[in-house]
Amino acid sequence: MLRRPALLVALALLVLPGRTQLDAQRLTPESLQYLRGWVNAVNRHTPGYPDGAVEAIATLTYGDRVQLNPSYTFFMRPLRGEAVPARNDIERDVLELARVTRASPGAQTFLKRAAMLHADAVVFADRFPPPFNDSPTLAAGAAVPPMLFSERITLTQDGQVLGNANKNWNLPFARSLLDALRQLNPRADAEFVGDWYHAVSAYLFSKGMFADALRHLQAAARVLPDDARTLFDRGTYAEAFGLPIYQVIDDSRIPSEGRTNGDAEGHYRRALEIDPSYVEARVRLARLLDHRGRHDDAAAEIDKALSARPADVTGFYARIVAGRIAAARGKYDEALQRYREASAQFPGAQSALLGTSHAALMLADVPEALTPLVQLDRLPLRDTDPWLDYRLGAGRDASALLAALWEGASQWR
Amino acid sequence: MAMIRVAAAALLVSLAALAVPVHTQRFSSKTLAVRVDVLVTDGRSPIAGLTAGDFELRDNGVVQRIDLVDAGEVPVNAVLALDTSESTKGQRQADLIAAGEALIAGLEPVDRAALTTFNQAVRSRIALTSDFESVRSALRAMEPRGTTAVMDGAYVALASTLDQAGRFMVVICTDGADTSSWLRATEVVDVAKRSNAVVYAVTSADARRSEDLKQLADATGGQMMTIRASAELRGTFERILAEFRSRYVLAYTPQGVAPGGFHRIDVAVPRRRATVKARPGYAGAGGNE
Repeated sequence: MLRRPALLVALALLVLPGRTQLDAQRLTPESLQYLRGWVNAVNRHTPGYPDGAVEAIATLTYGDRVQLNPSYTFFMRPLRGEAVPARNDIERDVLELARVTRASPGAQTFLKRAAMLHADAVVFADRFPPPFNDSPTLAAGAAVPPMLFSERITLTQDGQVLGNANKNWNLPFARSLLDALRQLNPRADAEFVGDWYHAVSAYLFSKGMFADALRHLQAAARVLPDDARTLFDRGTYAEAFGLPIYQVIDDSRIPSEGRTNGDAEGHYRRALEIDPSYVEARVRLARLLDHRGRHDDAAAEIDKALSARPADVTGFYARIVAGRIAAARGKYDEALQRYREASAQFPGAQSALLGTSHAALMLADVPEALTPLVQLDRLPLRDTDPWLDYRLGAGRDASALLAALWEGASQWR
Repeated sequence: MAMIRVAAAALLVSLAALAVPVHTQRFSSKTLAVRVDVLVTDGRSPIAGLTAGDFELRDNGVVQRIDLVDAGEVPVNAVLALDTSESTKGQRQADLIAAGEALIAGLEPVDRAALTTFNQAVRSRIALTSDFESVRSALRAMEPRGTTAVMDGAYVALASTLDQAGRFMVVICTDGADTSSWLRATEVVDVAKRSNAVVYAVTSADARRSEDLKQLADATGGQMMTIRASAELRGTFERILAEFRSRYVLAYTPQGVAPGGFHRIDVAVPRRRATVKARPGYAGAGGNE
């Protein structure tokens, strides 16, 4: 499901001018029916499965959401414990639905389940036919209920603009549900909220959904300002935009390389203040410092990272970055050693083979320089180089992070 | 594999002498240490008929005694490094294949060709060979997909010339910007300075960040060419081969200069109004600059 990242990447864009259908926001029998359907979907959804509840949510049109929104808005007030008088039968039915929900599964559990359902509606969106696109274009900065979120984004591939698409409304809505959860009890469920934000960030990175990730990380920064994982994710996001694959895009909305790399450096430094053992944050900080010409500072950081003996992909990144930093400092013997270590770890990694070859060549050892290139030609054409996934950050672990989230949700009563 | 450390400048010629007997008569390591491909034009067209006496070559400012090798008699080694990323699909790919075939059609039986392709993955599809049909087949089998690692591709193409004899032209063709390379442009330019190859970079006029390719071409005395449509590829490739054949090959053993470090080369044709293009220098023995 979460295999290789889709190359389609979405960029954060403007909200285009237009108008909403807020004049249709009335609590009607139809709206109550939509609310019953939504509550039922939340209660019957099994997290991590593209079940009927996910399908019901994933296929909602904008018009459906316009119908649902008034009763949902009314429902949330008693669910949060607010005393709300009923002025008619419809409101009475909504109040009763909220009362039953508070009794079982309880407001907190219901809100968490709802957040999971709407995240799953994003994760499994491609399993269902996309809903008819009846979304309006909204005025920039228009204040709309989270359920009626509607933004346009630009799609790009390998540095070239492909076209526009609508951003998925489910995540902004899910985040509003978590805001409601935190209002009920700011301390309770803090771990779940942190896990949810990180796993969803990872998923968005894994799919190249950077436009959705922008809003998501802005919300994460507000909700979890001192969370090392959130800072790491924000660093990864900023660092990705400094990579050539985004910098080559001819669009004034892409931040300058210097600015976005500066942001990334700041986030990584802050993450390391909170958690000095966050090795990948240190590796990425070292890469950025080297890229910005601060090779000695980079060497100090990468030495610290390597002293933690990182394994797996993080270890590979540490070694190729160490190789690159050593090469930049003219220490080709050290560069050769680091690249060889990386190659031993991932024999199919083109980046490590090329680094090995280059370092050997700079040591005037042509036979040694050519050996890795012979290895390169023997590799299968499928991509086996972790460097190609570097921009994904936590997205590399999206499947595992989501699986852990789903597993945790299965324990809820 | 045993480490063989050799002076960087003489290295290529020495290996050439060992590796491919057919060329050793012209590039003996005993007599010729540095070779420079030189293009001389009147501003538009190549000037033919020059002799060694027409040239003045300075190595780090010191005038050198040069030999002029008849380039027309030296086989050409043409290395194609072609972009096979997703964006080359369709007509661009058809035009790229046609351009590659046209260049190969212009080669003589004594010449050789090689093919390197790159998207995010770089592969030497065909090593240097006179079996041109195999290169044509590989060209036709290219499948566009993925992203673009121009510098990684350029590196592999250049590296493929290092243990080979003869004159090399490396034609790097891409329709876009480098989005995926691991190697830095400066690192690949360093390698270019250590090779005898002349790099021709062909890129689309709207490609962004193509300065790196220009630097690479300039470092070898080659040229960067921009095209507005893929239909121009064929003519461009044919012009590249014709221009390469019209170059002069100067050779000399450095005298009066220290062997290490980067050697600046200045080539002039003092008695003619001419534009001279040659690589700006080479990395001397033990130099890593």
